[in-house]
Amino acid sequence: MLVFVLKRLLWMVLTVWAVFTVSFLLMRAVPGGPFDSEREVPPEIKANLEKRYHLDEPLYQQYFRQLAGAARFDFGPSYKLADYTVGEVIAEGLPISASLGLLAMSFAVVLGVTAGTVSALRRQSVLDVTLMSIATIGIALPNFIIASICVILFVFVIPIFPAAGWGSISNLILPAFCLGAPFAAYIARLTRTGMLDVMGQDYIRTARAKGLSGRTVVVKHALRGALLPVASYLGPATADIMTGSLVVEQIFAIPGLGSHFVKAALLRDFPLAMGLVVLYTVLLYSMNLLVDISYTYFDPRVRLE
Amino acid sequence: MRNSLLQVDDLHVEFDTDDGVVRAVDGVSFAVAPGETLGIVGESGSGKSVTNLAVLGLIPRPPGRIAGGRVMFEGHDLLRVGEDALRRVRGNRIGMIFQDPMTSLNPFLTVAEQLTEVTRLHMGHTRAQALDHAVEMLERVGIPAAAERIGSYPHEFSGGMRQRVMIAMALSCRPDVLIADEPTTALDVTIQAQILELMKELQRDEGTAIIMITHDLGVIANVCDRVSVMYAGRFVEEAPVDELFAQPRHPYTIGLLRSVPRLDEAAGARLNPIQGQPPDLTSPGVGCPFAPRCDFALPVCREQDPPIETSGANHRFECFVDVRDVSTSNSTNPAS
Repeated sequence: MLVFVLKRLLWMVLTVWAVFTVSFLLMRAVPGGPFDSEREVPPEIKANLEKRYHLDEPLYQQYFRQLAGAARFDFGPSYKLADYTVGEVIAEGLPISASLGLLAMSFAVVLGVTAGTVSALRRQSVLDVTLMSIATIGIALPNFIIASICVILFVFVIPIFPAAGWGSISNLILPAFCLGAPFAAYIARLTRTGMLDVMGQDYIRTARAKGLSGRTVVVKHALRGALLPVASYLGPATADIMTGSLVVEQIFAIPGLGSHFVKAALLRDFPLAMGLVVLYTVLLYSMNLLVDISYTYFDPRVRLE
Repeated sequence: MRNSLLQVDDLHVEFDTDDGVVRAVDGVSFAVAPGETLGIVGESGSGKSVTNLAVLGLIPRPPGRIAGGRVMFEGHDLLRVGEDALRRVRGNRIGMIFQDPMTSLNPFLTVAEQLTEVTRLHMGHTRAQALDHAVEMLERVGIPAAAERIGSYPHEFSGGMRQRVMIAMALSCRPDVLIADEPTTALDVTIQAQILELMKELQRDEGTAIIMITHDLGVIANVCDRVSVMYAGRFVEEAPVDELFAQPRHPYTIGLLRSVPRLDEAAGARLNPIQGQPPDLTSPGVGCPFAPRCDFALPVCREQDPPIETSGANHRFECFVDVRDVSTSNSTNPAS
């Protein structure tokens, strides 16, 4: 187990390095730089700025300078957010996006697993068809539509939640719901498929032949096997949801990380973009590692090596 | 049948499929007495397993449906007592073991958990009592070092050992009836013999009635008192085991017996399979379902359902033809 984790961590370092390198080259390959603007800047000022941020150095020097920084998790100052280092931007936005994301994901798991299980057990019933239609709509509808409907319903028609902002529990509910809804829908479909598969297994017939109640059969004998596909989906999904959503955070005016991903790339804020890419890679990798470890808990036949 | 324990009368089971209604079990009746072993033999798809799953209400519904009949056990009709009452019978008064021990145990739960949950449920055992009882059961079915191994998961046992665990589980509550659905089919031959021997031994000790479902005539000859031969959802012949082997009266039974390869045949002798395929149960025509494959078939076989004939007190078969009159000429020189 320990050997497995250490090995995976070593692989993570290599992966992060590869992602870093490719991203670095891609960023520089795109035309335009951080200090280009429509207004003509005097060449002396531009040269000064570039010197200040080491953009006058040859590419390989910039690469190694940034790589050395990344190794210490120090990506330097943001080019565009004055007086902020990349570390500060992340330290400010990540806790907000992550807590919102984790809440949304918990909600998605509870709702998705429940709906999926009920659907599977009442297969072909009106309930099943209704739930799965909602799930399909949930996957298909873009976030901003769900969010708009929620705002209209629960802010204006029935005013129980604030329209936007951050700081209190009531601020969390609507965005968490909107953020989690597509994930809940996907988890519901995964759970339904997994549950249908497991309920057809011989050992479920054995459990029923023992006289166990329907609930014991489902909860004790079937659920674990049915949730294995959900567990593997949760790894990447959690990394995704924790790093914030541009749309939901914009609509509800939440100061998370979501918009930085887009802006950093558009504005050629090289250090911030690199910092966010590395953050996402590390998160994704860690979540997948957690999923692999959780398999040993779920399934005694799995051994990590 | 004298003081029968479990009695099935005119059971019909149907399945809804895309191609129409499949009549998987079409009017089957049988009874088992305490301590007796009834064999049900037939090829794949003949309805053997479905018959017995229906007895315990384990047919998946939908698509399955009990279309008629009665299953009398301890004065109640199991088809009508409802799910709660049925659950008190399952695993408690009637135990069941299945064909493939590799897939019939839950891979996610320890053997201890799977064994103890059944006695805690039906016998009101505490966790400690149930564990003691489970170890005792594992020892009885011949699992060495049962106390140490009981905490293992099924994948840490071999196939034969897993089937022993299944038997221990099915017999934990000392049921009156054990339904064994091809218990040895997935095991290799030496293990098969051990498992059959074990079942016979436990039956002697407990007086359990056994319904042995199999397609293996060797198993039937080895353990059964009486045999029912099933074809296309019907019991086409029933007889005491010795009589069935010595004097089969239904052409299908004769075909089954002839298809078994024999050690005293010349090397290189051809096998004698029954020609053709089992009928499509979605559109049963009139007449005997075996007629299209039957060496003895008469025109009347395709026009009317065969009569139920008897020979002696316990031998019953459904056929127009008295095979004793024609079998010598036909069996040595099969038609077509």
